[in-house]
Amino acid sequence: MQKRRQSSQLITDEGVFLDKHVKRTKIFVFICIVISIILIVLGAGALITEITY
Amino acid sequence: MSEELKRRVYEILEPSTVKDPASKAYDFLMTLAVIVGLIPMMLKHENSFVIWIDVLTSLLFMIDYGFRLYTADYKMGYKSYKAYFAYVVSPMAIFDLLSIIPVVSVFWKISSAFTLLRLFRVFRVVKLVRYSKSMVIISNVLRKVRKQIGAVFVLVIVYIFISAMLMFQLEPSLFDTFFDALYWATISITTIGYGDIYPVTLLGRIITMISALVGLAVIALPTGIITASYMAEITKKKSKYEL
Repeated sequence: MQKRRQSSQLITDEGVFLDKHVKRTKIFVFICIVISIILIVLGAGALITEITY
Repeated sequence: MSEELKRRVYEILEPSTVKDPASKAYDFLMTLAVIVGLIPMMLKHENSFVIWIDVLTSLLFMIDYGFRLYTADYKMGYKSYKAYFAYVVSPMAIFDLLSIIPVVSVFWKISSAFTLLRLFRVFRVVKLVRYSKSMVIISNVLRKVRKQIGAVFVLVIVYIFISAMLMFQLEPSLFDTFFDALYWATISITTIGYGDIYPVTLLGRIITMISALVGLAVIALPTGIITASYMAEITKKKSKYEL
């Protein structure tokens, strides 16, 4: 079975953006989201701990 | 393949101008890392959350610096080893490097004298300039008027020294050291006036009055210069979009 390479194209006012590796982009975005959530939890934890000290 | 990957890394690192989800996600992550990384500076007591914030944000900034160094040739616009040296000495790269320094206090237990290294965390705020259009405008404005602001700053410093020296001679009992006189002069010229040091002799009070009046004029100068430059920058951007 032939694998079809997926690509994503968006036309915006600023120009054409062509993403050739959609899966890689999705994994990267997922990692960024996970790290962001960890940072938010750590920040909230630090502030709450300080308030309740 | 390596060049394609390098190009992609550069696109992600640069603030996103097109709808690139990877670039937007990275911009959001770094902005959040800067803001959360400053939380420890607002706290009095250290806890495990603070340590983990330090570790995670320092690692993120080290990785960010590494990737920016890797793609320095794209950033500087020419393919040469000189591009890497040029990047390392550029202002933003220096701020990036300074913001990594606090990692030393996280991984190595150092004496209390060197905990001042943690103060370098405050340089991380400068990183936000990359990701905020408003801060880009402000930094452009300040860059354009730096000579005029520098001249006013020199004038202010000279005046502070002159009035400090005068008061130090006229009312020596007020001040323990010359630094106290400088402190008084600064607080007077900026019209803050804490009132912790105040003149008691007639001449001392006259000098204080003159300081306050001069301060009103001198402190207002940078405000006018920056405002005029800011309006010019806004007008320029508006006419660019209208064209």
